[in-house]
Amino acid sequence: MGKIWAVWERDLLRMLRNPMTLLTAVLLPLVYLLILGNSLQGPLTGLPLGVVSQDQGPETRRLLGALQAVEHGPGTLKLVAVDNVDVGMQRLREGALSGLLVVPPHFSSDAERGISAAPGLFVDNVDAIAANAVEASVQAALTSIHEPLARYETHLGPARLRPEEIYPRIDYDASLIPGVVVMSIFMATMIAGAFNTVMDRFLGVHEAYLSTPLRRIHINLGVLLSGTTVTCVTSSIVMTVGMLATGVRIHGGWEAYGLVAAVVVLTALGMLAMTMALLGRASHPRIVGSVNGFLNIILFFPSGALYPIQSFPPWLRAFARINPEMHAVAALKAVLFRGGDLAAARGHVLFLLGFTAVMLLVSTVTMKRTL
Amino acid sequence: MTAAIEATRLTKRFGAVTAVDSVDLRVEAGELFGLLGPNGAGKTTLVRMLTGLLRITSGEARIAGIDVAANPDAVRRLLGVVPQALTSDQDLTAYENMDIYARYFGVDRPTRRARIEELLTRTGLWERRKYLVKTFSGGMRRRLEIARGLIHKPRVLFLDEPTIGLDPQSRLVIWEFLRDLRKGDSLTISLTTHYLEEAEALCDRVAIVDAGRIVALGTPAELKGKVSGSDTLTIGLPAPAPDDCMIRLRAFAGVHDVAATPGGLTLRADGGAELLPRVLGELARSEVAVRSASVDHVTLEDVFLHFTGRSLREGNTEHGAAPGRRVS
Repeated sequence: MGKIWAVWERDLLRMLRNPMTLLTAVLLPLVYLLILGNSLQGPLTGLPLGVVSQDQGPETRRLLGALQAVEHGPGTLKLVAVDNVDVGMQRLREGALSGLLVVPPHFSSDAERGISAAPGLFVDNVDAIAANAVEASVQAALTSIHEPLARYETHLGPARLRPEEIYPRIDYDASLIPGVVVMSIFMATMIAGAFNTVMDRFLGVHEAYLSTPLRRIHINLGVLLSGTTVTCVTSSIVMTVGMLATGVRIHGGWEAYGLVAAVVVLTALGMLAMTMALLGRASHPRIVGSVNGFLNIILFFPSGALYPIQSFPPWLRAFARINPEMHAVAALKAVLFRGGDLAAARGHVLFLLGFTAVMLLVSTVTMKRTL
Repeated sequence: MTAAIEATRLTKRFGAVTAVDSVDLRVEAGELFGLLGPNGAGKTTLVRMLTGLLRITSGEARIAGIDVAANPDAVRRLLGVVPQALTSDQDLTAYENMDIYARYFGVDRPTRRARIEELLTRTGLWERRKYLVKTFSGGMRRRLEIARGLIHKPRVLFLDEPTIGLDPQSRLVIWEFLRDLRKGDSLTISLTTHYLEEAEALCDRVAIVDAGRIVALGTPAELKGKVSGSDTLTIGLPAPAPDDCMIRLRAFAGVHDVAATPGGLTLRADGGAELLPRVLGELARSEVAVRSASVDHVTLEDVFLHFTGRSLREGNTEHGAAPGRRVS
């Protein structure tokens, strides 16, 4: 063990004496949390909707009133009066409008006579999400002006669900914390482990310790444990800041804290060992940087950190099932958001345990002991 | 008696390139043995095989009787290695570098402390022990790395170009340290160098390496003795010597060659110092005015020239280096 700790200490001291590198492992995931939390969760507001009204009847006025309610209420739409369809279409194509609503002549009279009245809606579908929001808002406004008609119907209306959330409400930015913590773990693996080993080889420094009686396991475990130490510290900072910022608390006592620690340690060690197995024999640190960047993308996005894996196609779901980041995110979500109900985390922790053991074995066996 | 270093038909190939070609070598315990040759001759590759850093293609290497390929860990415990590249960690202090390296060899804490103090004191670095290595000069780093290579009291110390890139003063400091090292334990030192004066000043025996082979082996005196005409007499003349004088000089006992040069004459001969008065007397008898005269003893440069047909400086090759990818 003494030799492993000697390697651990050397590697750790080198990283600690370059604090700027460590700072990036803390700051970048927090910036991700800030950017992702605010870019994906917020409702769409202020989408400019051009309105060409060719009818002045009561139904049109009610429709415009309903749209104005949307404008002044949730603010999804910003109504813009447009003189005619040609001008409206041109502004739509220029990107000045997100949609163009054309209320045809006789809209009110048709509606009053029970004839299907169909206003025209043109949407800029370059941005599908904005187009869908415009369409949904206009549809809701249209539906609302026909509501009085339903009063005369004899049935009681459709059955309505009354959902009950079994855990405390989780905001979108809070729901990102597990993903951001896992991302911080991955970021730290990019500056430790295989990166340090390959940098030693690149600088020729490795010749010194390769000529000592250190065995593969001493070198590998020492480097991986120092990387794990750094990774645990940086990801703990990220998790603490994220939880303080979003008000998330860990429920479930010491067992929950223990599970969080186990998830972080196993994920860090497993990811470091995986990158060591994949990249430990590389000759240039640039290779480690570029492959790690690629790995970060292909592991993070199918992790369920941003979007549920149930939305993935079958092949991506199959990949997600063996993706350690998916299990880390799922385990952290279970501990952080299930109010102390830890049963759902245990299976994921067991997967991480097995994954880490396999990666430790592979990275040790494949480590290059000669020049 | 078991040799400290022994190589039998040791060969290293990188693909089609044979970097070390069937080398036989035996270094006795306590020797300071030099491997002399130009860059790329295969010296470093040879040392890397002997220290277990490179796989041996064929042949056998033994350190203190232990097979390097079969038992590399046992061999490494006996070795101190100071590679050609500066390998100390720049973000660590001198003390930390020494301490961590000692722990790689399993040296216990009290022994470590005493040994680090002793070695850093001997290399003049004790006062700088708490400084980061990145603040050290090249000479200081080299001394630190030699000290580091000795931390576990190795039986064999491999030094690969220990003075490369150093100023003359730093080089002399390291020479003194190496001479000092030999006063104590029966440490065997293998010194790889392409500096002739270094091999000549320090080594008990020298192997001249060229194109992956040992082309000559012996003490510096023995090697120089193998070059016919061990001394060079250089005579400065204001005008060329007459032909009959040249013929008489060639007939002197011990003279191997007489050549006219633009500034005078050059004679290759044995016992140059004793021969010089006779040469000057002959020139006086021939009424040839002499402007200057000097005697130079043969050097390892002459030995290298003798065995390889070219000088050390023009002999730089990339023979022993691992072949790289061709880019143009």
